[in-house]
Amino acid sequence: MVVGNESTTFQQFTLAPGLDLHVAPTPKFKRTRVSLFVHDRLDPDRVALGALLPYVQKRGTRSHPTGKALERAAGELYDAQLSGGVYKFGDRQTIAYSLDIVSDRYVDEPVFQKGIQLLREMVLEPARENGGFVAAYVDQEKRFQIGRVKALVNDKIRYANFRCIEEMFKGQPFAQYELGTEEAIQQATPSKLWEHHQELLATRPIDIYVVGDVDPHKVRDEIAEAFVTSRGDVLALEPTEVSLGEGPERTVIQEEPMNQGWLVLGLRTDIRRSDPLRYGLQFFNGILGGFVHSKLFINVREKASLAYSAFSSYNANKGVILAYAGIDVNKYEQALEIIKKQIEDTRAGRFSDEEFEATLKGFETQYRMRLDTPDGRIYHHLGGQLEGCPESIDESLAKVSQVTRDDVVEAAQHVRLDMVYFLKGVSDR
Amino acid sequence: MLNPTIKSYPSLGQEVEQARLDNGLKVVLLKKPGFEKKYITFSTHYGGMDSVFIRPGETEPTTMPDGIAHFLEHKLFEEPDGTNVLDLYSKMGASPNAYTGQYYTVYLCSLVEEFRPAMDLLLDYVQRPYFTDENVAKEQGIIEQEIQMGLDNPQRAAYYNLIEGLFHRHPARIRVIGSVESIRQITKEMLYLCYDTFYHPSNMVVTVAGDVSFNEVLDIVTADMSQRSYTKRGPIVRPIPEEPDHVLEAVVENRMKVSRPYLLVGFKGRLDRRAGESSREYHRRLIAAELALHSVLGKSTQTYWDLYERGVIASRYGYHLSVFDGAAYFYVAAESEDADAFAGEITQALIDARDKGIDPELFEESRKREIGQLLTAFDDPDWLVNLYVTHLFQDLDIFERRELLDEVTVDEGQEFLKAFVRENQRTISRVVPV
Repeated sequence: MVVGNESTTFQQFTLAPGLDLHVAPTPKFKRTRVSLFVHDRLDPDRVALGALLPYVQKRGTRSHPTGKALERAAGELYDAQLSGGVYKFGDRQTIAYSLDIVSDRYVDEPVFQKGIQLLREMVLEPARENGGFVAAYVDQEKRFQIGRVKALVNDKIRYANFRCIEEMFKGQPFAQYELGTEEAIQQATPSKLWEHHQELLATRPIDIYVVGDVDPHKVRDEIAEAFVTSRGDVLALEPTEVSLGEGPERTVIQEEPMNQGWLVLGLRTDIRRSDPLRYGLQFFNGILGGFVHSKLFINVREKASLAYSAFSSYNANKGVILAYAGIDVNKYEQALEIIKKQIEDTRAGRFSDEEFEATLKGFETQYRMRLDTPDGRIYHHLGGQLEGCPESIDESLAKVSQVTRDDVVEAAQHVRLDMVYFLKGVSDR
Repeated sequence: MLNPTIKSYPSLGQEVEQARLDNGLKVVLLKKPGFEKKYITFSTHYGGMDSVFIRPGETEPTTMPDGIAHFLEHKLFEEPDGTNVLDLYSKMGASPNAYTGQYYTVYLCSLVEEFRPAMDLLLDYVQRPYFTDENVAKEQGIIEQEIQMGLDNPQRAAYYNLIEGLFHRHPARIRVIGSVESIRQITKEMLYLCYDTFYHPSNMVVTVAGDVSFNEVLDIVTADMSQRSYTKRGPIVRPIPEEPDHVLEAVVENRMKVSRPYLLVGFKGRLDRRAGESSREYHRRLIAAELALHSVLGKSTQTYWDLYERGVIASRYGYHLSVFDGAAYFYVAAESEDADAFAGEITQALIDARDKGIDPELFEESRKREIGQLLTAFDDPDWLVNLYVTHLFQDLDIFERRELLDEVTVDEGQEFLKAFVRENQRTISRVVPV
């Protein structure tokens, strides 16, 4: 299928068991992106090790054994960006590695091939000693990772988001912070981390994406040569657990020394990403708080002047919606009442045709704009791929265009307010 | 007279078409073949630093409360009939936004379809101010929350302290957003006066990035402008106070709830265009300064990795150069486990490069990195337009950058370090845990 003049689908190649390559050739970018994702369970015993891994891998490789040597090599390739990080998608931990490099056409060198080699070394051939990772790198990165975990509190909105989720899913894997706990990080050793690395690469599903001005078959051969290693039995990952939860909503108020307060309402649903109602739910979120025409922005910010930020976000892989407002702490009751009313109004179908149409157009625009960035294309596909329901942007466009008002109301019957979390600023001065 | 011109930059893979209307408005198309998105902006050469100005035809300076340019940006979204521009855009599936910097305010809109109505609306609402006592009071509530949100952010707080420590009186020390106290002084009369001064087409530029034709763009803009009557204007004068060479405060500290210190080490100096210097020559000196900083502070340096391995750089590492008429500064930032070591060793690395020279290999690598970065920017219409507009308002041509990157020399980089890296030109701004 085609939007504009260009295919929106990835060409797929299975390179080895559970190792899939997705290629989107396009002449419109001046850079090429290669992203490699390793998927694992969101297991409390594994999260900290998996999250630490890419940080240690960035410290050096077989032929560029120090962080400086690796950076120098990337710099010589016209600022090639080698990155590594970790995401929590539903009940999955996804470790992401990527290379972003200028297209050979704009420089007088075959930089792409060299870039692939750097990425391959970072992922498959990190610097080693005594059968494990380099001890000094592991020790330093453990310390920095613990620092990052502690620094979460510095970023108020991310912290409020994390705390709300933690309270909502207490005792479940999804409650964990994506980097793991201080205690778990502390227990990592060079050899444990090496075993983890080997196990992930041999037994976990891997997706590789390439977006850029490339020849798909040539790039398939290049990627296969660089990244296919011996694979064992590939673990089949269970679908993410998605459920309504039960009982009356709970309220958690936490005080921190800060000027503002962050009010976060956590909504749970039993609608999976693969559920046909998922798009109705996406509209529910869009009408509630996804746009500047949405109820939260209009009623909390524009009409009541209570907040600069007032919005909601939908986590499709976990079926969760969070509504946020950054407010004056004295306006807690008023803001809570207004936000709850917006949720009820949306649920009851009290939204105008204009609100509905604007939401539809908003999603159509968002999807089409994803075609303009490599990340937009890759993450659109990856989100569904993780739950066994990948979609091209065309397919998603077709689905949003079929959503009706009734779908929104029907999806809304599967929404339950689970948590009212308030990060309350108190003066410390 | 339109005199549209087309220029092609094959080494950047970019075509640019531009024209200037009779009323002085500049119109630019940055062609992006194959892109779904159209990114339209309407920008004025007016920002947070312009608190004091002499209106065309006047002789005495006018002084306005800090934060008024940003306040005005918020207020333009309101329409006389009580509707809001945001709603109108939503109906088109378009996302509007705006941002205010030190010397620019940019109104923007991203869309896929309905290019013409979206562009008509942008031109129209930016040229239709509507301020009342009530809507000004309402905005004060919203912006107060925006200010509070910023003050809770350690990076922002440290940055404010830095610019206020570096400068005695140059407007580079002004917070674009203002303070709770300053924005409370803003009235609708002040807004109208600033609007009248800075929102004249001769002080503005319309840019489009996307897969559209320049004829269509010009057609939309000229149709809009033909309905409006602007009289010719002289230039706006922005008086620049004489700024001492030394900083106001060497160290500024703030206590906040953070897990470890965050700090900025800043150096001030002058990087003004010299009398008789061409824009291109000046631009080359600016690029030399950037490459010098990359060569001394970038992630390919031994300094960076020494500090990293010891936790002296723990995260949020970065550096940035800002250049204005009459004042410039750069800062190096990090979250650190040892704030004193960070400030000391970063300063020492800069002094070593100043005195012993910049490593030529690293300078060459920095040159390559900047070429790569520039090409990256051309894949991102938002970033590209921002670069274009900020360069234009400083009388620089972003499209010269690729060539200048080949020309610039390591000696020019060192000259920059000699002018900036001095003890009494340094301010350290720290946010430390309570």
